[in-house]
Amino acid sequence: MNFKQLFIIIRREFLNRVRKKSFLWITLLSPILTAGFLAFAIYLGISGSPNYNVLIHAENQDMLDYLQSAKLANNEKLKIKFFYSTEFVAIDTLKNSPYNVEMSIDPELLLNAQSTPNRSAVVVPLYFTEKISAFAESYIRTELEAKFERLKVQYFELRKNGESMHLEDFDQLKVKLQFDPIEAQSGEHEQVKKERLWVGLFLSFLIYLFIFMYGTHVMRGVLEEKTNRIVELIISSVEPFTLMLGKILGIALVALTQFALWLGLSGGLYFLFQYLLIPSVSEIALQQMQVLDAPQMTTALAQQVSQNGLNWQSILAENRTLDLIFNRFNYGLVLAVFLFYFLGGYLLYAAIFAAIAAAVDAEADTQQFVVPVSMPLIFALLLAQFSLYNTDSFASVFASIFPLTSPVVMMMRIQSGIDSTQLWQLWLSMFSLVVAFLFATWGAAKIYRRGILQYGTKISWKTLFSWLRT
Amino acid sequence: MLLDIQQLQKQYQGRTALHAIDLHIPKACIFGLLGPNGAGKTSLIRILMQILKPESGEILFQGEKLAKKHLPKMGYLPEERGLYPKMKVLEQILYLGALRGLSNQEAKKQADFWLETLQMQGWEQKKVTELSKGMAQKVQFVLAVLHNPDVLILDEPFSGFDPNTASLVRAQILALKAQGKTIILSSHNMDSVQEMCDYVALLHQGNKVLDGAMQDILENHSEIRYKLVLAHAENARPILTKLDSVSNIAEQGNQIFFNLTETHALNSVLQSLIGQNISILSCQRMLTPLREIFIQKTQL
Repeated sequence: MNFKQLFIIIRREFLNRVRKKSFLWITLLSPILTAGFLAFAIYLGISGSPNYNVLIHAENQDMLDYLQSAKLANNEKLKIKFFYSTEFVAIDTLKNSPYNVEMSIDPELLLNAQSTPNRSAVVVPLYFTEKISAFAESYIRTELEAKFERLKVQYFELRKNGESMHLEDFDQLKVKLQFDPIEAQSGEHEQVKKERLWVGLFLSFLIYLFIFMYGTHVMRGVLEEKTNRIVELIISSVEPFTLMLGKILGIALVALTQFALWLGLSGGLYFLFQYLLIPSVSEIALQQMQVLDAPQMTTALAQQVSQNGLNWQSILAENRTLDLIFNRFNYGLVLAVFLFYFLGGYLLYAAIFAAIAAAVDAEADTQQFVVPVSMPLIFALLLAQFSLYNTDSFASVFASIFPLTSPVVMMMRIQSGIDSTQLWQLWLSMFSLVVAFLFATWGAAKIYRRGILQYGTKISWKTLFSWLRT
Repeated sequence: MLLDIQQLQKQYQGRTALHAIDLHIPKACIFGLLGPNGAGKTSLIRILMQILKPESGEILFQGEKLAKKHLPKMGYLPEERGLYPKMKVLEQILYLGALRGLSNQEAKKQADFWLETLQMQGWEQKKVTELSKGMAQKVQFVLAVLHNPDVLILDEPFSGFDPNTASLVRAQILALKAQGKTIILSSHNMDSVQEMCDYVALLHQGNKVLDGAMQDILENHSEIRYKLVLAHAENARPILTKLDSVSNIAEQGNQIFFNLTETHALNSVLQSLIGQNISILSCQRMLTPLREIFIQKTQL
């Protein structure tokens, strides 16, 4: 190998890219923008949260007195205020009370927390009428844990009567709480909702991935026709708009075909899993459970199975993940919404990508346009993750309606369940996506028509906007 | 008249590419569209193909305002041409045929005919990446004529062809003209244009600087100079020298060249020579080649 030549080539390749203004801008702006986005997303995740008036109920007056004297600290930033009462507000009337979160503390349960096997957390039901963000939930839990630990220290000191404490005593002092948030009206456990949200996040990511993947296909396709110079021959027979739209829709069909195949395969696997694999696997599992003296519920299942034979529903009831996959999903709705947002998002972004490809001469030149155009989509994915903690924050609601982010964010929100009062948001989001797609296609067609036969001209944002106006 | 172009004007961001062009293109002829790079030829062709819109002016196609409905009657071989590299030859032809409204069967029939005519049998299933440049050019030519158009616009049709293929394509263009098709030919190959075209228009910096029938243009831009091939050229010189209408005499072997003051004087010159028993084997008007007229007009 001639290293001198190698060096010359490396130098050219390096300088060619580094000297570009776009390289400088992207290098300087990327870290700033990423940090900014992150901070903004976190801020928005918190900022939209409501006031939490948390009522702590305990039948035991001493416990209540202690909690009051220990002063669970209210948090202004998270807008959390604690209230105490020996009277439990009936769950169905919680909505009409001054409180929107309620929990009941059983002192015995706390003090005996150390007897729980493997130090697993003490589960405390947390009723709410206003959805609790993850930040708020975490704050309340930490506050309570700290105060209970202090209480326990006092209790132990009393019991040990001045003797020094041992390490095992410390283990007994630690309190680990776990809330089980329950929606006061419907009685639905938030945990279930959260599991659905993870699925929502997965689907959001899938939409993000597909929009990029198939959008890039469109961009490459347009660029291929332009650089191969076949495009002039084609547009002497068809309208440029027809050619662009044909390409976008053709690739959309590729995507849908892929989906259909995946669905077919998944359906096959679903069937296989449900009727062929699960019975044999669970039989073995049941045998093992019986040997290991499994918890009561599983034994009950084993009895049921031995009485009635293997029952699919009973297996589902026992397995959370399977239950989530097979029972808790309205597949029709999820699929319809997924298809709508995928198609809407894809069509919107594909039109923009097609316009970019038509305007430039080579793939390397697309970068300066693709990076800023992709930002909302990347931001949407980031926001979708924060929406996990607060799906109803202002940012989540806005991003689920704003068409450049809605395909990713709404997919996430829809999993948390949109109630009838929020249904307008879904309709508005869908409507704005359709309008945005039409507008983007109109603009893209203008740029496409002007750009597709333009060679050797350096295209800037200014040029693109001037083409839009003409 | 097949195409009537009236006061056509095209601008690109303040720069005028075509200044109020008038052109009249008759039926069943080969019309040469000439001009140096940047003269406005491609803009004019793209306007004819309705790829670009003019700022002003009008084009009539057989007396009707040019519209999309006329596109199926037009075939186009652009200067900047290409093919889908991963598609097979026949697939490309069928695809373009379908875009132009041909049924699969018709397109296949046309493809068979043209591939055979251009000596490309057996190449149907080859991918474009496997073709030589000349072969790819032939496929592009097929794509232009596939739908049997009445007007064929060929932008630099001979570029990239070896002499044999160029001659084959030239023969096909002449055959199409013989069938009554109109061919608009844009080329820098002046010899081909002079040989093939019946009419010609020369554009320069967006202006039409010349147009008309090829023979008229050549004659109007040439001196009145003749070449005689004689049995004995040396005997002719003294006779020609005595004639008032003759000047600038030159000899080369058995050929003699001279200028005349007017074309009508040729008869009396020939009579004088015949009267002196000079045997004339041939007589030919010497015309300035189109290449030189092109240079004269575009160096202004």
